[in-house]
Amino acid sequence: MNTRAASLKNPSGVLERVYVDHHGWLRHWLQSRLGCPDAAADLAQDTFVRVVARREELQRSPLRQPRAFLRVIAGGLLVDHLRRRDLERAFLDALSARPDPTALSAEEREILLETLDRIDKLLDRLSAPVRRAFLLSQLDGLGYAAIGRRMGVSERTVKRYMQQAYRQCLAALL
Amino acid sequence: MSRSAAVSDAAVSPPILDEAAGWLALARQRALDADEAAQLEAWRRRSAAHEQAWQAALELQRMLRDVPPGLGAEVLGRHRLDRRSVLKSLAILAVAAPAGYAAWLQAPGWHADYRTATGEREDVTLPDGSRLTLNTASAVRLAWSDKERRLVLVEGEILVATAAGSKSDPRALLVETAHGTIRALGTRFSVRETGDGRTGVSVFADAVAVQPGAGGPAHRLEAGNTLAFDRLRVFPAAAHDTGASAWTRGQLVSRNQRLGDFVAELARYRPGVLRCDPAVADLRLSGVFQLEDTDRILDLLGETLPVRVERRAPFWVTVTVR
Repeated sequence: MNTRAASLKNPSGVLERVYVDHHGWLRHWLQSRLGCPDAAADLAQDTFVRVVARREELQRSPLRQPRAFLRVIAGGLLVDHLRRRDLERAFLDALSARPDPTALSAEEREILLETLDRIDKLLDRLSAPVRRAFLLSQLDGLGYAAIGRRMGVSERTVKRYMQQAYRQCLAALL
Repeated sequence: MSRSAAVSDAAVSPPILDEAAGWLALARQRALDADEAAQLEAWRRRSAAHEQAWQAALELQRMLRDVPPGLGAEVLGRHRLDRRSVLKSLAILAVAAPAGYAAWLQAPGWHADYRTATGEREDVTLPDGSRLTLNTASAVRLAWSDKERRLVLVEGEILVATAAGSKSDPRALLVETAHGTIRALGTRFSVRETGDGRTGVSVFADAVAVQPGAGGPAHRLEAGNTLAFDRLRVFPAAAHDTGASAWTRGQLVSRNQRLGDFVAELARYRPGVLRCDPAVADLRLSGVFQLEDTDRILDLLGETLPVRVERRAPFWVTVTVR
């Protein structure tokens, strides 16, 4: 991190200025959406790490609206953070509703949560009906005809949804 | 170096992805026969990119297999934050003039839509930890801001249970309907758009304040009671029976209820048309019914009451004289 900080030295000091001028504002902006100062601080930090990764680009063309730029980057991180937080809550709820929540070791839990997180990210890109059909097939084990009846669409449409879901998941995995 | 590897990875062209997805969708539909299995083998051997796409397919199948179905359905099938609308609001900001920022900061932070289809029921955890349960055919929009936590009931019925720690949340929790606003003064209550131009409210713990949209004084409703209101006035409250929140457990509870009213209630949970012949509408019934299978409930009516359930089509059902 130190060597990286040193490499930030540049004639315009663009990055330092973005950081100094807007860090407080960004933290506040994130906190007003998250309600949690620690998570806001972490996300603000992650945002600046991403800005640093784009420093060459930024030195070529200085930012005209640094806050708008930061907000776009932070927004992506924010959405993902909220998704993950939501997922963890649902995971803990689901576990605590099981007859024996201790049947899984801490490690198994962690692995399961990571797998769920990976799948959840893939599913997040799907439209609601495609996702629903996919989950009914993969997790509830329903056939295409039963899914069609449940969703009020034809079996052919279900197959099309499934193909679409697989395609988007594969594209994200490759 | 890693960059050139990334380029060769990207050589899996869109048509190859389509074909791989097609194979997966077919294999999920039914077992492949010997010919198809051989075709798939041949397809994989066509190029490195084909094989690479299939390896990703196998990885996807592995991941999905590793998830216990019940738990996975609960966790992955939960209602999601509406990513697109979050991003859209942000994108609007990115091009807004600086003067617009201040207005944005005061506007609701972000919106999320929760919706259930007919016959569905859904539990949702809100960003503050409060729980929201949506009954059949219901929709809620979240309008959260620094000052208040506002839930807009677009249609249907919801149960709100505020988070244990949320009394420390200084923001008011409000439910807005077409007819007015309900302010949570406590922990558990349900709100329903009754479809006859009124909103119904039932309180199960502590109290709420009901404010008709046209103004006037707010009306306090205590636990154990239910009332209806429209934009102009609040109708008298009455004690609700224990069945009032049964739907949150997937049940329909009736005590000496008119068959006509029962059928109208049941119709909310079924797609299509469900009607009751006026000739039998005044029969009475009592019972606890499982909403999960409304066809079974209809069969039970035919078995226990002097009525006939006429199914002209799966989605066209009439309860009539035997």
